[in-house]
Amino acid sequence: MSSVNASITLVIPSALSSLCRISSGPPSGTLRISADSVRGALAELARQFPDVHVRLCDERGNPRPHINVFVNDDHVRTRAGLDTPLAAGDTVSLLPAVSGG
Amino acid sequence: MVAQVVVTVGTKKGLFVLSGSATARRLNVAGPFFAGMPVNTTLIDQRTKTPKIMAVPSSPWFGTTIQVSKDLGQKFKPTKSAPAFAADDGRTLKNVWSLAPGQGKNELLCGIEPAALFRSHDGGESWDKVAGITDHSHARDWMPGAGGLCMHTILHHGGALHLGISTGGHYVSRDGGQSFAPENTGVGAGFQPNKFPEYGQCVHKIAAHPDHPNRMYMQNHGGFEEDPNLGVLRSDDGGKTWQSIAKGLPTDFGFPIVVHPQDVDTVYVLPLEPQTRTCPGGQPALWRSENAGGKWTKLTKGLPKKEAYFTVLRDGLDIDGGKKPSLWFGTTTGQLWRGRDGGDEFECVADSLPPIHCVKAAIV
Repeated sequence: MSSVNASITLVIPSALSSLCRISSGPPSGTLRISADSVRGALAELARQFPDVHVRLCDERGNPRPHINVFVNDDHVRTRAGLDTPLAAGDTVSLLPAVSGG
Repeated sequence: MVAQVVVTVGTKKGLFVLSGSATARRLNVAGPFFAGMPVNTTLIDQRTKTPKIMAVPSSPWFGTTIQVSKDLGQKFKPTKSAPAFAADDGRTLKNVWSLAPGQGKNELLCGIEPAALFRSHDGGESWDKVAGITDHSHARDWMPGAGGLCMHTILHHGGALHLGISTGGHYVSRDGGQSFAPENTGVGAGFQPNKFPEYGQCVHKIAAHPDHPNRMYMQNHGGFEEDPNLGVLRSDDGGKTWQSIAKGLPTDFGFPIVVHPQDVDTVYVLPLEPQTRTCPGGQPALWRSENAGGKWTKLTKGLPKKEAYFTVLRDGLDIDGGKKPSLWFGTTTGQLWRGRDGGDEFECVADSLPPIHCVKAAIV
């Protein structure tokens, strides 16, 4: 596994995009960050946007039970969970589960 | 000036705020706020000239926020943070079950699931763990009930801080919240081999009148045929010991219990059939005692006479502070009921809300 951070895209739920504002630009649900794993991507989210991270992850840094995490088209549970490595150009998507009722 | 009443209704799908003249037949309904998010607890904090309404939506997707309204429920704004365990604690916030004013001007206390207590000194912007109960040596022994392992009652009373935990029991701090001890003498646990353990009871709710420090009431987990006296209890020594006042009720099972704001001897419960946790016989009734549980009166005027099988949860019943106070209760089938004049006559205020988790009412 490479320890060099890759430039990746992080997609957060649209319901939280208003909390993401980079400098003077408009809020966006799509972030460009550098990380070498999904865990690293979440840590970077916590560093840059703590108000978003706390909505998506619990105190231990794990995604909330009704949040699914994908790398490109794969759910991370089918790969290496939060330790799934990232390569340049990957897209990590944090999506609300289809749940409720 | 006509008194105004404010009623907060936390539901499975958001918060509703009803307000208007206390004598009016119809109230204004605002909401839903935090649409789609369960709201398990609210607080009408009357320490400020204009009361603050606080609510805690807990989204299954996006976690928990503490929300504050300074305009009686027209708009809400989140505080900077919600209670949270340290990353290395091992526990994570599942839900918020209770909010209560603290003793300082901006102090708040918050009871959560898994059972733990947090304190804020700045109106909910930041929170610190109350270690005396959260890290109590008993804490890892407490077990979740059907609703989860929750700290649902926070009550400053008689110079002490009383907590209700399901299932953990009644804990009290008599040193300003530094240390806590179980005080459950007479509080039964019909679901354990030892019916009267030191702790581990499934306390459902605790209530008291602020002017009478020694008197307290408890709705405990009852409904055991072999011992029908575990559920509804009274303490006359500030919570140190408890005795049954269930005689005369159709069942000692239920969730909420409230005390009349002008009469410490008048107490209300809403008994439920213990297996189904719905109205006994499909006939809902609030029960009132005017002599501290010595005798009970069934209150049904205006309520459905048959085929009504709803549940009223532990925070689903409240009594406002009026001279002739109204009882307000919300059902899991989405009806909000008002019982005027201390419950003498009921009317359905709203009949098609989402399932109701909690109701708070105040004259402001």
